[in-house]
Amino acid sequence: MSVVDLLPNADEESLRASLRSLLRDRAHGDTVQTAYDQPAGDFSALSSAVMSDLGAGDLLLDTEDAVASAAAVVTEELGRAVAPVPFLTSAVIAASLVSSLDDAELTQTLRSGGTVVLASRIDSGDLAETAVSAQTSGDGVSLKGDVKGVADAGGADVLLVPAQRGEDLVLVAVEAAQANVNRFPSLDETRPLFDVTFEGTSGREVAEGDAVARALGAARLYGLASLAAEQAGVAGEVFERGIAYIKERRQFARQVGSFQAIKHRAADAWIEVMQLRAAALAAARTLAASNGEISDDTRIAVLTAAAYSKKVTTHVAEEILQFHGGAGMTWEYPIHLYLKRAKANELVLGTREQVEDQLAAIIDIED
Amino acid sequence: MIGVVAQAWREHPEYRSPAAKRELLDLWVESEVARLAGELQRQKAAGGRPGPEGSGAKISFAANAQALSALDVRMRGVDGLRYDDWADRRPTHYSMTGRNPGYRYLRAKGNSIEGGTTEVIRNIIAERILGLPGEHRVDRDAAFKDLPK
Repeated sequence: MSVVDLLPNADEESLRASLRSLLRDRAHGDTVQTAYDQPAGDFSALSSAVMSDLGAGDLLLDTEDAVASAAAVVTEELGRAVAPVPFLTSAVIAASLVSSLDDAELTQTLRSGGTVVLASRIDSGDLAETAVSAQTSGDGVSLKGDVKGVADAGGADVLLVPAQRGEDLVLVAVEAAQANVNRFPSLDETRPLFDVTFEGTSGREVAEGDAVARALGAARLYGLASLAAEQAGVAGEVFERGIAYIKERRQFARQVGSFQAIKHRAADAWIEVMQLRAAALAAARTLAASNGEISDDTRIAVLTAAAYSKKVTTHVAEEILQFHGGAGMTWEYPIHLYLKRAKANELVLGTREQVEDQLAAIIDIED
Repeated sequence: MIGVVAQAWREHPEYRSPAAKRELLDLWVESEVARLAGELQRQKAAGGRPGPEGSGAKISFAANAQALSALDVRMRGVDGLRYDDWADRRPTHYSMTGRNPGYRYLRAKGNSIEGGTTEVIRNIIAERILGLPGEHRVDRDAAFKDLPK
C-alpha cells in the first residue's frame, strides 16, 4: 500500500479557517437548534453563504482531483457545526454524478448556485437500486414510483432520479417543483428527510446504462469519503466540548474531569477521534491523488474510513452526553445535535455492515 | 496479528462463520485506522512537528492484538486449543505472531501491561494531552524505598 501525504496544506487550512469563522457566526448551536423548531428554521441563507459565496457548492466540478481533499475540509467543518447545509448531498454526491456524466445543463445549475439532489433513500448501500420506473414520453421521460427518506430533497432545485426503464437503468433530471416532496419529522433535523413521489412526473434523461451505474458507484465513494470527514468533525467537536465541560463542572467538591473513570473514558474517546481523523484524511488524500482512476487502494481507504466513522462517532457523542450528566439530557447544551447527526450518519450511504462487506470483497475476506 | 488471522480465514473455509466475519472485518478496520494514525504521527514527526498521536498507538496495538488473538482461538475450534508444548523455555527471539493460537492469546495479555500499561497511558493522555486534573498522589515526593508498602 503506497503512502499518502497526511500533512496539513496551507490552502486547505486557509479554506478551513474561513469556513470555521463563517460557521462560528452563522451556525452557532442555538441557531442550528432552530432546525427542531415548529416550523423548522430556514437555513437557505446559510446554505447560500457556504455553497455560493464561499464557492463550496461547485468545488467537485473542477477537474483537479485535489478538490476531493478540499471537499473533505469543508465537510469536516460543516460536521463540527452540525450545519444544516446540503453540501454532502448536492456538492459531493450530485456534483460527482454531474461531473462524471458531464451534463452541461446540470453543471450550469450547480455553477449558478442551484442545488441538485440524488433521489435515493438516505440509507441506500447501492445507489443503482431503485423502485422508480421510467417510460419514454415524447422528448423526455415520465417517472412513476416512490423514494422514501431522501435527504435534503426539499431544498433542491433539481432531483436526479435513478429509474428502471425495462431492463435499463436511467438517470433522469426532474425539476423538484414537479415532484411530490414531503418532509417528515426525523431524528436528525439538520439533514431533513423527505418522502418523494413521482406520478407520471416528466423529466430529462441525463444518461442510461453502464455509464449511470459507474457514475453512481463513484458518487457513492466520494460521498462516503466526505461522510467520514464530516463524522471526524462531528466527533472532534463534540469531544472538545465534552472536555471543556468536565474541566469546568464540579461535583463532590471537585472537577468532574478529575475522576479517573471519566479521565480514562475521555482518553479512549480521544484515541477514537484521533484515529478517525487520520482515516478520513487518508481517504480524502488517496481519493484526491487517484487521477480519476479509482483503484482498490482508494476503495479500501474510503470504505475503511466510512466504516470506522459509523462505528465510533455515535460512541463518542454518547460518552460526551454521559459526561454532561443530567445536562446532557437537555437542550441546554448542543450535545444532542451531535448525537442525532452521528446516529443518522450510521445509515447514510449504507450501514456499517454493508460498507464492511464491500470492503471484505476487495480485501479477499470471503464468506 | 491481523495478517495471521486473515490468512487463517482465507486458507480455512471451515473456520468461517457470519459472526466471526463481522469480528474479523471490525478488527481489520481497527488495525488499519491504527496504522494510519501511526503514519500520520510519523509524517508529523518527520516534518519536525511531532504530535501526541503516538500515545494512543500503544493502547490500540494492545487492544487489537488481544481481540485478534482471542478471535483466532475461538474461530479455529479444536485447532485453536492445540498447544505446542508447555516446556519452560528462554526464547532467543521475539515472536508475537509465531507458535500457536493459544500461545499468542496468552502472550497478547502482556501487551496491555508491558512497556506502558494501558491504564497508566490513559492517565497520561488525560492529564498531559487533554489537560484534565491529576489525582491525589502519595508517591510523588517520596523516595521509592520510603513508600508505605
